[in-house]
Order: sequence, then structure tokens, then C-alpha cells
Amino acid sequence: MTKKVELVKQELDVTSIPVELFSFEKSAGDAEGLTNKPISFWQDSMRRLFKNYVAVTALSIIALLTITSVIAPILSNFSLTGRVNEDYYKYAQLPARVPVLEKFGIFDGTLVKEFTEASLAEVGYKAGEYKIVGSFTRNRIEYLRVKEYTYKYLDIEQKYFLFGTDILSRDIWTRVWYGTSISLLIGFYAAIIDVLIGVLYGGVAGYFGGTKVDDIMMRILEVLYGIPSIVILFVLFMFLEPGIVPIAIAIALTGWIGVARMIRAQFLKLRDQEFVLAARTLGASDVRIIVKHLIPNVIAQIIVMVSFSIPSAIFYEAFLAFIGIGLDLSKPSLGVLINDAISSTQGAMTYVYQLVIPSLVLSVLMLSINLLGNGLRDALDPRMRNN
Amino acid sequence: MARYIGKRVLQMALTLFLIMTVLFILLKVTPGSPFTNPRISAETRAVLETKYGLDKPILVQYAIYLGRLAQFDFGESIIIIKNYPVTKMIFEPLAITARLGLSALMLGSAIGIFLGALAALNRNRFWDHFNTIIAVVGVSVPSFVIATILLLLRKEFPIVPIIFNKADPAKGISLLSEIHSMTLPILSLTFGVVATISRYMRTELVEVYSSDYILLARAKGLNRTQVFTKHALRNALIPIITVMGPMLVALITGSTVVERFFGVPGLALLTIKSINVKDTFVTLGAELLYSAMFVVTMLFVDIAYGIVDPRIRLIGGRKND
Repeated sequence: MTKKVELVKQELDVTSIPVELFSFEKSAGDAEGLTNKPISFWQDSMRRLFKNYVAVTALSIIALLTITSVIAPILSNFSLTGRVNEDYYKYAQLPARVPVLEKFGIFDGTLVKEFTEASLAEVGYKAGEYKIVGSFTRNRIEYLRVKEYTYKYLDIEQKYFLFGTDILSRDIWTRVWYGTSISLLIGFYAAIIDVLIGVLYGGVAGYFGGTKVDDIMMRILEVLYGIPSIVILFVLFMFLEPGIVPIAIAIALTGWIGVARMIRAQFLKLRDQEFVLAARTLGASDVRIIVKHLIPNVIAQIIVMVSFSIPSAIFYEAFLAFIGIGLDLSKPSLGVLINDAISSTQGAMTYVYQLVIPSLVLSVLMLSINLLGNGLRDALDPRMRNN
Repeated sequence: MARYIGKRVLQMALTLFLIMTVLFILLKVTPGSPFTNPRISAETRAVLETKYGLDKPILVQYAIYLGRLAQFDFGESIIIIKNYPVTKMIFEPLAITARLGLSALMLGSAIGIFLGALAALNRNRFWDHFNTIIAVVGVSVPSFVIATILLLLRKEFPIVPIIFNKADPAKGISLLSEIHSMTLPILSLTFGVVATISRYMRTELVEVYSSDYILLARAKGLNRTQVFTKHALRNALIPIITVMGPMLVALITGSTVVERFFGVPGLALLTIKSINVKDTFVTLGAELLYSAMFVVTMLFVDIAYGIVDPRIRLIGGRKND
């Protein structure tokens, strides 16, 4: 150090100083600047999303369910509506049986049935085909709870029906996964239509907010909101053939109103900001301002909206299936399957797996999409976080 | 205030009128007539349609209906119960559905407010996570699945009645035993109410607890119970009103799923039935009732909101009319 100072003192001819004696230091200007690459909004959001382990788990489950719903029906040996065997009486209402899991006592191909002593003898189980697991009294008659090893009893021990078969001896595994893909498609289509109409309508109303145009558009929305959607749906289905797209249109018909309101509120807030004023000063047209400046600013909220639109559409479709309008049995969604199971099992505990399996798949799917939606909302718009 | 309410009432009337018009047109343009039935010959059908004025152009029918509405005459049923006035027809199912819905709302909001408060007071601990699970499950499990689970549980533990028992003083069936017979439908509706209310309650309470006046109350030396009951709870309950309004309308106009599932002869079932058989006046009456209740409740919510929280000015800052 002292040597350096001496050198400077002695001679000012910098070129004569050996290069090794110089060390590079950051100039003040550099230290103030950003040294790392800037993180874009999307990178930041995705980083936040992937830190959220609940959302990541939900995303993986959705991916798994989606992939299975596409692949499983293709790989399956059975068709959607075909019977699994010529001998359909024997193959009806078989319990679920999965190769490895059966060793642990679940999905082991057993049914719990109720018999009186006399009726049990009548069935004629051989040894090893049944096990008495309990007894109870109803209306002063003694009943036995009998665990039936159904596959053994019917001599089809080499067969495995993963989710069992239904009352018409159709393979539930194939049907449930096919139904999942139908439900997902409906949710997806409905969400897209929701957003398209909602952004267009809400965007125009919000952009012209406070004027006559906005006033009239909002009044129309109020009227539409007040009309019970069930009437619109019934009327629509008198004109449309039931199918995936018409159902999605019907659901979106009432679902876009929420999107339109949200977009309008956002546009009202954004259109008075400086960047819009700047764009307008530079001569941008209304369409250009909406498309290039306003929509990119609400895209995060739109994505969150979509992630909540999908489950509500799937839900609504299941509700429609339950009250008996919408898809028919040739293209069953999960809702149709559940409804079908409710009526075919008649609340019998023995065959409740037919109802539980599609309900469980639907619930897990809903749960995952909702949790992913929560995660997306937290990641894309931390202000909307509610704590 | 009076001027604001007057303006809102006028707007409401206009909205209702438009809803009625759209509904009328929608129901009339659909193909088929109430007398489309293989057992009714074409001639008889023509006679019947003339009798009920269904052969006239839609606009004329609309004008006639408007004229009757002006005299508070909602027409009469032509299929479900012949020539029975719609008002009388709707009244009984409405009463049943309202009893069902109100019971569910009261039970659900009591549990929901309790659970939400518990979650907010124990943030990131067991009750908070429990609350989150309830809320997420509440939006993820369809109501008919919940109804089925309840029905299956009832099969194993037959402690509550399953068949709907209509209150009828003549037969000695009291109102209470009717509500008792609706235990399962009430419980299936309650679940959704609890899920929504507890989530809102938690959010609001957490927000209230982070505000300055709570800090002030604590600084004054009030203990936790006093802060909670006198300051936090009251302020957190305000926004709940906005959620409960639409929920109340939805509940007292009936849940199609629950009514169908448990065979409760309520308003939602009547509506579906009337649409199916094209008993237009019944549909119109029921749906107008729904829309009217919806619009009126929204107005009440807005007014109530202004009263309980004077910071919210109904008139708004921009225009002072």
C-alpha cells in the first residue's frame, strides 16, 4: 500500500506503473446499478407459486388426474358402455379389486352383505368364500354381517376390476376416467367462454365507465343476474342438443357475469392512470389501449378467475346432471356417473363403492383446482391474500 | 337517505319489470305447449289452448299478463292443479322451504361465526387449519354427495326421522316436528353455510385485530374478552351481513338438490316441475318471487350496511343527489 502511494507521489506518468500494481474496483456507478438480471413479473410469480407446497401438490394431482383420464380409457380392455363379459348377470356389481392393495385389506374384492341365518344357508357359500364379521338386530330379526369374497365365490379369481363393475356390468375404472376427462373438458371450455365474454363486456363497460354506455351495460347485467339461471338453462336445452360444448355454453352463459364485473372494476381503476393517458396522448386508439395496455394489466386476475371458473363449472355440471338435464349416459361426466350410482345403488351400503369412487375423484379434483387457484391468487396478486 | 332509497326502489322496479319480460319471452318461445300430450288429441288441444288464451300472439299474451300483474293477479296454474291461483299455490311450498332455509341459515351462521372466530383467535394453530379444511371441503364436495353421506350415516345410526312430515295442526303435527323431520336436509344445507360464513368471519376478524382501535383498546387496559366482545366481534360481524343477504335468498327459495334428494315439497321442486310441464304462470310466479326477494334483499343489505357502519356513505362521494 505504501509503495503505491510513494509511486504516485514520485511520478505522475501513469503508463510507467507496472500493470500488476493496479487492482480493479467497482466504480461508484456500478455499485448503485443492478448486478443481477432483473426478474420479470412472471418469473417472480412462478417462483412464489412453486415455493407454495400446497399449490405444487395440487398441481401435481391435477396433472396426474388429467393424464390418467386421457390414458386410462385408451389402455383399458373395456369400452365405455360395453359389458365386461357375455355373462353379464354374473359380472354385475363386482367390488373393486386392485392387485397390490388387496393384500392390505382395501380394494380386496369383498362385499359386506346382510343375511339372516336361513338366507345365508340358502346362498350356499363354500368354506373360505365368506366370513361372518358381525351381527345386529333390526325389527326384532337377527341379521348377520357377512364379508363375501366375491371373486372367489364367482370363480373369477384371476380377474381384476380395479374399481369394480356397475349394475349393468360395465367397468367402473374406464367409466370414471372417461367421466373425469369429460368433466375437465366442460370446465375448461366453460372457463374459456366465461373469460372471453366477460373480458369483452366488462372491458368495454369499464373503459367507458361513468357514461351512458356503462350505465346501460350494467343495468343489462343486473337484469341477467336476477334471472334464475335454471330457467335459461331449461330454455337453452330445448334448442340445443345436449353435448359437451352446449353444456359448456349453457354454464358459461351465467358464469361470465362475475368475470365481467371484476374486469369492469379493474378497468375503471386503470384507465385513469398515467400510462393510459400517455398512450392516448401518443395517439393510440381505444381498441389499442384496451388490448395493449389494459388487458395485460389484468391478466393476473383473469388467470385467477379462470382457476376458480373451472371448478365451479364442473360443479354446476354435476348439479345439472343431478336434476336430470344436460349430458346423457352415452357421454357421462363425473356428475352423471354419481347421479347414476345414486339411483342404481338405492342407498345400499353394500354397493356404496360405486358412488364413493366417482364422488371421491370429483372431490379430489375440485379440491386440487381450488387449492391451485388459491396458490395462483397468492402468487400472482399478493395484495388479494387474505391474512 | 329517503331520496336514495326512492331512487333505488325505482331502479329495482325497472329491473324486476325487465326480468319479468325476459322470463316471459323465454318461457313462451320454447317449443311445445302445456297440452302436448299423446293422450290429448289435436282438436282438444286447440280448444284448450283457445280457452287459456295460448293461441294468441306472444305480445298479446304479454299485454294480458301485464294487465293482470297490475292488479296483483299472478294468474293460475293450468296443469299442476287446474285453475288454482298461483299465489296460493306458491305459498305453501315457500313456507316449507323458508322454514328449512332459515333453520339452516341460523344453525350454519351460528356454527360458522363460532368456528371463524376460533380460527382467527388461534391463527396458524389447530382450529385455524380445521377452519381452512372446512372451507375448502365446503366448496369442493357437491351438496348431493354430502346428502348421500348423511343418508348413509342415518342408515347406520337411525336416530332422526327420514320422511318429511308436514306441519298440520288438524293431524296434530306441530311445526317443531316438521322441522325435526327435516333434520337431514337442514344439515346438508348447513354445511355450505358454515363453510362460507366461517371463512368470511376469520378474514374479517383477522383484519379487525390488526387495526388501530383494537391496539388502543388493549392499551387502555381492556382484557382480551372485553376487546373481543365489545370491539372485535361487532366490527367483524358487519361484512357478514353482505354475505348472509344473498345466502338467505338462495336458501329460502330452495335448494333443488336437497329438496329432490330428501323429498321435501318445497319451492325449488315446484319450479322445476312447472318448467317441465310448461305451467308458465307458476314458473313466472315462482321466479318473479325469487328475483324480487333477491333485489329487495340487496337493497336491505345496502341500507343496513350504511346504518351499522356510518363510514360507508350510500350516496357516494361523487354525486350528492
